[in-house]
Amino acid sequence: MSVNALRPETGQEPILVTKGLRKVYTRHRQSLVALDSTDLTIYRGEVLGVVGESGCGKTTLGRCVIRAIEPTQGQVHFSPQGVPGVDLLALDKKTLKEYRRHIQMIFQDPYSSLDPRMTVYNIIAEPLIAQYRYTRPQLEEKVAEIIRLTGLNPEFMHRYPHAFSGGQRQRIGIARALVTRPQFVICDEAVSALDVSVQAQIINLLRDLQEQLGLSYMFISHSLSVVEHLSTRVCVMYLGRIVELADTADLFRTPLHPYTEALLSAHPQPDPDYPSRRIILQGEVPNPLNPPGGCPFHPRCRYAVPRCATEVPPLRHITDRHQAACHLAEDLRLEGVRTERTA
Amino acid sequence: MTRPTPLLSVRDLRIDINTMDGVLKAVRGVDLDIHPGKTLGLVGESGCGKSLTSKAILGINPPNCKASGSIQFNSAAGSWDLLALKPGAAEIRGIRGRRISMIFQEPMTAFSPLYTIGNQISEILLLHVTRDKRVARAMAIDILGRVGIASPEKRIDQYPHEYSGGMLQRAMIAMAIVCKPELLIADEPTTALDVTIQAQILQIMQELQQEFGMAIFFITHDMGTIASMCDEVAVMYLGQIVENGPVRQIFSQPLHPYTRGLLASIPRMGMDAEERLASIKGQVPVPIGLPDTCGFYPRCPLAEEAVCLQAPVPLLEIEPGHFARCFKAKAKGGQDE
Repeated sequence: MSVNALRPETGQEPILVTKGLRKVYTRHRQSLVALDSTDLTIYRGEVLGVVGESGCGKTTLGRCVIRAIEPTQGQVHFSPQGVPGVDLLALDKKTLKEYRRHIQMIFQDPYSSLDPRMTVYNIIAEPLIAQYRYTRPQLEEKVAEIIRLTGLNPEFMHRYPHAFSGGQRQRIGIARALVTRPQFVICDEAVSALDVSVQAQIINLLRDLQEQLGLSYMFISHSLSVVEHLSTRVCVMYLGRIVELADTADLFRTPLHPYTEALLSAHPQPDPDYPSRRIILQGEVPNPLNPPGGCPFHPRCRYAVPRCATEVPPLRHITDRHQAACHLAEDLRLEGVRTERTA
Repeated sequence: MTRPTPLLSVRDLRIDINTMDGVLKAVRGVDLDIHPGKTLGLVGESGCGKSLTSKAILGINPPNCKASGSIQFNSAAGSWDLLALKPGAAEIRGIRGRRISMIFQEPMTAFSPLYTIGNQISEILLLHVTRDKRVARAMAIDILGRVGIASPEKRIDQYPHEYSGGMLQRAMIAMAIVCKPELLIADEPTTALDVTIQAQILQIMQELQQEFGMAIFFITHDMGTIASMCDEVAVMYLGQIVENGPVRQIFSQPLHPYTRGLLASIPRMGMDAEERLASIKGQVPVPIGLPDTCGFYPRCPLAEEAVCLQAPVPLLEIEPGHFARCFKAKAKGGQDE
């Protein structure tokens, strides 16, 4: 597929396309494949959810895309509106910096991701100062504008982060990411550290901002319900690979990969009458330094057949809009989330 | 309704913490009953006082926390008011780990890195059950096998850093139940774990509860685990229980506006993605110098000055066995009680 291919069903243009993205860490002559040949397309205006458990490579994916860590191999084609499309991985430092104004990141921890010695104004203005040459009044105006947009009070912008609660700090982090008016935002566990009532406020804010500013998100989270709520499409990762990728409703109702099925069934629903048919996976995620041969999930998979131990299943289209990396995807009838409560 | 004597009755528990800004009233009059063999869930957001409440039962809060009230523990071996016992004295030490034990949130930091897992489990056995080290070791191996650790005879001599997070949490459960306690306090036992590992741990806890018949006091901020684990639920806000009742009633007919807000703000799998999440406006205030009237008033969608601020709100029995701390709470059908 060419990097400019439109999405056939909706005619959306891609904003970001990764090809063969791979990250290998080497230490003591051992190599750990944190991210294995990942091909992904994110279309303009959509939210791609990335879910998986600790160590599955979801954060590595987000950071490789923005080159916060350097991938070992691959391409990241980025086509923001109004500027020529590029392969971010092929850019020199200076040009990369110019493109970074269009692609930004929101972090998980609202406490450690803000410098306690900078005022909120300085924190939010920093990306603007790094990217543009604005005068002080221009800066103040831009900062005040984004502060209002993220639901904070501009009167407090000369205070320090310690004066704010967790939810307010996360708003500051969002304001900092959005102040350069990026088109693509990577949210890495952006609501995971927050209490539920505040989490709901931030989820709603992220959604409103996406609509108002026409943003595209890569939304990385371990929380299935949050991802379902925010995403247009979802990709599930396991041991550095994408194992399933589909439209959100499709993936949650009719999963095609046994790992997705197990994840969905393990997620505790806030409903004591939800007919729980929890699939308890045996064992734990294997050591990525010594991954199993064949399908990385086969030692824990209850449907595994001998072929799974020897042959790596590629991520392939099972239907037009639903990809899965499982040899048996067509034959299994896996159970997803039930929407109607069965009496 | 007459009920059997609770295993543990907390009455009017108050915990004050002296801070530089004044007295912080972290727990403000908590009443709870935990029945033998049942699971009581305590749910609330950060800073609501749920961990302080659970730690007060074992008397392991830091010295600057002043607790008052009573915590009556009716064990098979006798009855005590745990709050009246001297911390560090023989009596409470005979209860801790033996009759009441606790699982902590962070399995990675709850173990000492300097001793093997076997040493740490045997320590409790040698303190409470046996003086024979070989017997203790055999019991430790047995219990590790029971919580699902493969080849426990090898694993027992390993150090915590050789275990994964899920295995450490199993080891901590093993350590907590090895003396067959009557009450197990689980303070966010699965919060640090991945969802598939969480499912394993919750299943083990349920199996062990059925086998040993212990009561579980389950503290969490996650409504999902509450729904799958608990018989009764207490919802805590700002140091007070605001709602208390059977798990089905709490989820199907929440009475307190805070509980309703909490339930409405959770994204649920399978819900219409176009739906906006309800959120509770504002944020939890710092509990210093608060009035005795309803603590949720400033954030409450039902707030009405004439009704809500007249007097401190007691925990009202709105339906049989279902309590709410709200003057405006009504039973199903809408008529006043």
